[in-house]
Amino acid sequence: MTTTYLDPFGDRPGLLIEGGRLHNSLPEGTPLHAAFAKHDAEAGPQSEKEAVAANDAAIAERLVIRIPASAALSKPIHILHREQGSANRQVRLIVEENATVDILEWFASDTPLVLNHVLRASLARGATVRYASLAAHPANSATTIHRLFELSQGSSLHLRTGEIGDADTHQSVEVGIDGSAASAHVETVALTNQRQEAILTSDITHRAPQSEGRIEHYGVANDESFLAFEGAGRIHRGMHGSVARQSNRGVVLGETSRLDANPLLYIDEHDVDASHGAAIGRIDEEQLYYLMSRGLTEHEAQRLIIEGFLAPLSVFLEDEGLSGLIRETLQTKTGR
Amino acid sequence: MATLEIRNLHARAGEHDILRGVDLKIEGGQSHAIMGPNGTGKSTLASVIMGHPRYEVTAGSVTLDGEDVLSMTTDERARAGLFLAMQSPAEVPGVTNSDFIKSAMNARLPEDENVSLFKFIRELDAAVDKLRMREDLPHRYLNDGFSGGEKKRNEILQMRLLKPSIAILDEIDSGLDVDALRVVGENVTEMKSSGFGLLLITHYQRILDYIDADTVHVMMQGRLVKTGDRELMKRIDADGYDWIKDELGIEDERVVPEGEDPASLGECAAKEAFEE
Repeated sequence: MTTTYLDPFGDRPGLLIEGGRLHNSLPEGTPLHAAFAKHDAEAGPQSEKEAVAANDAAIAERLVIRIPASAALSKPIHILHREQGSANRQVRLIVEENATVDILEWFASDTPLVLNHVLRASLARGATVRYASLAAHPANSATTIHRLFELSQGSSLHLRTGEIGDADTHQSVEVGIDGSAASAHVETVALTNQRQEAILTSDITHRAPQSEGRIEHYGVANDESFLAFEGAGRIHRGMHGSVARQSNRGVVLGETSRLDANPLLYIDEHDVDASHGAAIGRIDEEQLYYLMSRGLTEHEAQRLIIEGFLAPLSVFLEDEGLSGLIRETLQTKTGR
Repeated sequence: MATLEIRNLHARAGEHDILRGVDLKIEGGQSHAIMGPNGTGKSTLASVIMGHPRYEVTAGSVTLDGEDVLSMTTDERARAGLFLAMQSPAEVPGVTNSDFIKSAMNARLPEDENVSLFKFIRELDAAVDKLRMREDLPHRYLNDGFSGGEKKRNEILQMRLLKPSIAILDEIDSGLDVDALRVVGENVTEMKSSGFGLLLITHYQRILDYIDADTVHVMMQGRLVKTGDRELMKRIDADGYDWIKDELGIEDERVVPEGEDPASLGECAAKEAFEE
């Protein structure tokens, strides 16, 4: 086991990462290799279970991040994943009791990539995690990114994920709330264009009473792309006083692009507060008119509305290193 | 000096002919008020001047200093000097007031020029103070979660900063309590100059207690049917509109179908008072 100081942004404070690099390339004859070979043949991300199983079976690289009990880091941890070819990686995040941590994660690649990434995170009692994770892989990439969280009593998770690259992607967030008074807030933003396909799933299961789960999906689909949001809140019997909320908002920019949202609630308890909804459509004409009535050109008004719509990305825009890149990507992807 | 001239303006929304020949001329330094019962086409006139996509002009002309307004896009009209304070301004979550107003000011400058950040912040803060709005206004999302009264004051704030040559205030008084009405009145009155023409559209005369209008028009059936001065306004305040209908032989003054009048969705002042 080697200890690595991860410092992806040069002069930024990094963190001690205990990790083991097992393989640099995908070993032949493993289930993962088979899965990706199948992917290459069929062109389309594999199912989530298959991907997670394959990842467990043949981890090419693993990072373990442990935040000790009661630790509070004053600055966010930056994690940069930059790789080539194909990668099979697992990140294990262990946040101990009452620890607080901010994580800013960025996926990138210079060349097309096949990626199977799994995050397994556990939050102990009273832990607080703010996790922002943005993927921007180039076209002709195929990625699966699965993020699994377990929450103990009184812990709190605020997760923001974003897909602003050109990869065909299948991503999921799965949160299991195992302790009472724990809360999970999951925000997902996706921006697709050209012939890109993205399927994004957020699933929160309440296995403890008085727990809170919030899912928010925001999407913009341009050109001929396809974007789908699948959201589920599950409250088991006896988990009284729990809250499950979900919202889906989307803008369809392209003439032939498609944006689907399937908000689901599975409730087996009557003493709960649950709601879900979806609002998908073209850019609001009244908003456009209002902005233009103040002198903004149609182009500029649309740009402002889309940027505003993607406000959950603002956590990344606060980072100087990323904000320029993101604004550029938004302009390229929306043509605005 | 700015001159807005409207001649024989006809416009429709879908199946309904709403404006049926409006004639009006507003010059810099003048203040006009258009009064009238609900559903007579007052707000439609404001929207048509600004170029709302819902309306189609079927006849007539609108010019600003001789330039054809109707051939301009909405943003070109704004940059030419027109401003409309809307009755129900849109909410735009995610876009801060500050970013929006800065973009609007930059839109008026040559392409390679930007408003000085220092000057902008100073002007914006001063306007927030003048309109007695919350100090965090620049950082709040545009009209998102604003009370009816905050939205109206935000319209006037934008007008102050964008300095139009002709401003139209559409039902600026609806949703305002007396204190807010006074603040709005002071701010509008302060803008008056020989280079600023004003058109107030209102259902009630009470806004005219705070903003002086030298010419008063009455709108019915999609036309301006009567024009006068403050005496006309006082008579309407005392006697309502029926005497005008009798005088002109108008039975049904409405042109906007019942239920489609945005004014009926307005908030009442009492509710506003609770919200703030």
